[in-house]
Amino acid sequence: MHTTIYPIGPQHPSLKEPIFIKLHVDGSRIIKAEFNLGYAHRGVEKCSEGYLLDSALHAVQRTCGICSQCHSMAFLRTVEPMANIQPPTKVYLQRLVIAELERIHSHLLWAGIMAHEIGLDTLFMYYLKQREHVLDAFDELTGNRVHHSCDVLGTMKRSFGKKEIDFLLEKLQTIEPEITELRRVMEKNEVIVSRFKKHGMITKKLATELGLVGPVARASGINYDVRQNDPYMAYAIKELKVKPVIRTEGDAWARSIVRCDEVFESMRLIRKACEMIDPNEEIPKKKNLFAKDGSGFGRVEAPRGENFHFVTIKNNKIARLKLRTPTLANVLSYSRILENESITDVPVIVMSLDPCISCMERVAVIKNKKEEIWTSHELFEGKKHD
Amino acid sequence: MIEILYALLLIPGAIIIEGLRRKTVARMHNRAGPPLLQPFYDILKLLGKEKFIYENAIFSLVPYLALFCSFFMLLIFPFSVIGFDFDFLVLGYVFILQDTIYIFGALASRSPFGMYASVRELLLMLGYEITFIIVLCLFFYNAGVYSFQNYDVEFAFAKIPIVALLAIFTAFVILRITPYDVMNAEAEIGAGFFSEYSGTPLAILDIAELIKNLMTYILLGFLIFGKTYALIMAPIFMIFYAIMLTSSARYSTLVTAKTFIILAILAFVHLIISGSLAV
Amino acid sequence: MINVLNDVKKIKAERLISIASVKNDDGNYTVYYHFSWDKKPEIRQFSIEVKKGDEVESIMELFENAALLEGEMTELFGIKFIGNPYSGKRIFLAEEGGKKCTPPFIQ
Repeated sequence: MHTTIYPIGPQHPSLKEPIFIKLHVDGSRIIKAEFNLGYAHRGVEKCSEGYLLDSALHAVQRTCGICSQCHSMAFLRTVEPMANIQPPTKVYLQRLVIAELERIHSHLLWAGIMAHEIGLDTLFMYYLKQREHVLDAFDELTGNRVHHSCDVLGTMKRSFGKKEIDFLLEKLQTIEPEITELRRVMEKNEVIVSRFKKHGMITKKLATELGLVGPVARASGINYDVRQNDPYMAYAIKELKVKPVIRTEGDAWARSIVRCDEVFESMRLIRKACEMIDPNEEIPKKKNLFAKDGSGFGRVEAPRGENFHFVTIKNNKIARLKLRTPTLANVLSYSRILENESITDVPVIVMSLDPCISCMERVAVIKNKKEEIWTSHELFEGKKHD
Repeated sequence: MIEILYALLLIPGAIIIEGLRRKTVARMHNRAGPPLLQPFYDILKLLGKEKFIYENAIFSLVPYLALFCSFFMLLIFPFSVIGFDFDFLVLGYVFILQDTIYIFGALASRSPFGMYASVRELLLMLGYEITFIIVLCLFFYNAGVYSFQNYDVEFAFAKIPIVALLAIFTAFVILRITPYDVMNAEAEIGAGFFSEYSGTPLAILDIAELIKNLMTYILLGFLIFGKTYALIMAPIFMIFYAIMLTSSARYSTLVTAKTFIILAILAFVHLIISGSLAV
Repeated sequence: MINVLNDVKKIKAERLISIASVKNDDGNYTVYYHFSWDKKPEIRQFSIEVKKGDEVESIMELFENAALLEGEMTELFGIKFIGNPYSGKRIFLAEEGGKKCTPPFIQ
């Protein structure tokens, strides 16, 4: 049978980041799907060799724009025990607030993009308008809208006072009724239901075989959430226990509902944590730390799944840093779930796995005293920093 | 006098009505839209960009043929400058010819996106061509004349409301509002037809598209409301279609259009059989 | 070739999280495997010593998500994994002038 190659190419209006999915099609039906990566690889696992711990934290936080706090928390979960330091509870609670806010803004952005893919532009604009409120809250709490690098080894840069917490609670109060209405649209609107249901099926058996993580696995019936199974930082406190959202259908609609419901769970956690923060308490100042030689690992729950860091330290500098991001685990399923689907369903299926390609390819910006940009030539010759 | 004004202000009118449409859509989205003359700035920018052409003669000619079709509508329409006395069916041909030229252009561009776009557009044309011609025929049967110059009926929707509603539904397809924009569906086929054109050819295609949209609004106003009110009703139809573009209520209304289409076809067949309409 | 498959079968892990490797001072590599048991919850780390130029057996039969992880190892470190179709293919790095580039972590 004669097949044509149809490129969902590196540049495509439906993809937000470059990935090359090569589809072999017969008419309008897909026979085989392959994918090529590497369009956003900026090579920083090599570049963080030989950095001090603080510089490496700065680089790791900028791996991805949407999920920057989760990378920073995974790194800190790995390194702080090795440096033998335990921050106070207020620092843990502040980190939880920022992480849950980040989950809300990532899921709202994802929902908007899904609505745009099927042609409902107005819904896209409404979702992004609610996301603007969350970004305003970030601006007030951390000083920056996207790369809010407010974590430091052992403490944080800012301490939340009464003004910031009131602002945050007021913003949550503003967006809650709107998000409830938008969730009702997601669940009941006939256009969305007919385009999302029964497409991109991932059965529970396939999910266990491929080792999928995140909302993708939870929509197929696997009950796994790092915050519940392996609690860390502030999630170990009894009042802040997380109840993950599980669904059993396994199609794109189930993934949408899982993400919409996680937003409500995050809002509940933020309100609980804000009650427990004492606005007048001071957090410790930044100190120079010395970490023992050795290696360690740590994992957190990013908006897209389980984020795992593995760090080897020598002479108080990083010898090897490996990030295993959730999209790297989920991207293998593209070749399975795109078979026997029609081309018209491809943008829905590709985006319903929520790929964050910059996370997967491990990028960071290097900024020492002067700004340096590594060319690939220097990378291959092994130019080292001191 | 009014004919010369009409001919001179055609392209600026098309630009302004498209700018107003984008503003209306943006206000529905709860945001401020682009400036009013934005389509003009877009065309200016495109004229300065590099153009890629293949060796096909069809590929290079398609934009200019499409522009020719848009300008040809001037000769037929009410305030025609030259005053040709064409049949009303010639207008139907010209509308459909423009879409056929798009299909040739998409096929000549040798890309998989264009291939899919042209196949889908062919399927779509099978659907709306028939209803468009039926609508034109029924309106002119009601007026009893054969040419646009002699069309004298005012407020035709009072006598044949069903056909007026059918005309409004068919215009959804002509204007490529979202369920029917299969040809340049952005998400799946990467703006299929237009994906291989860039630079000056794309600017000319945009101008042809703008003029066709303006002609659709004026045609609707002319058929349903009569000669004197055609130009005034054109912006009102534009606002109606802009609001319908942004709301998902159009899906349920368009489903009920199926019943109207069946009614119109039955009415047409009845007219032929009873011999009142000379075919 | 270093045989890993039988040992990994004996561990009876539920899920493979990651495979990473570190360059030692004497020029050889240590490859770390991280396995997870989700219910308990527990993560265990296993490591093997690989000399320069050695080849390792791939564990794709048991865990299919080792495909991209082992492929990345081959591309960045030069350790080949037998039985993995992604090993030896260009995944992440760019081609400089059309020829393949040397693995950057080797120096």
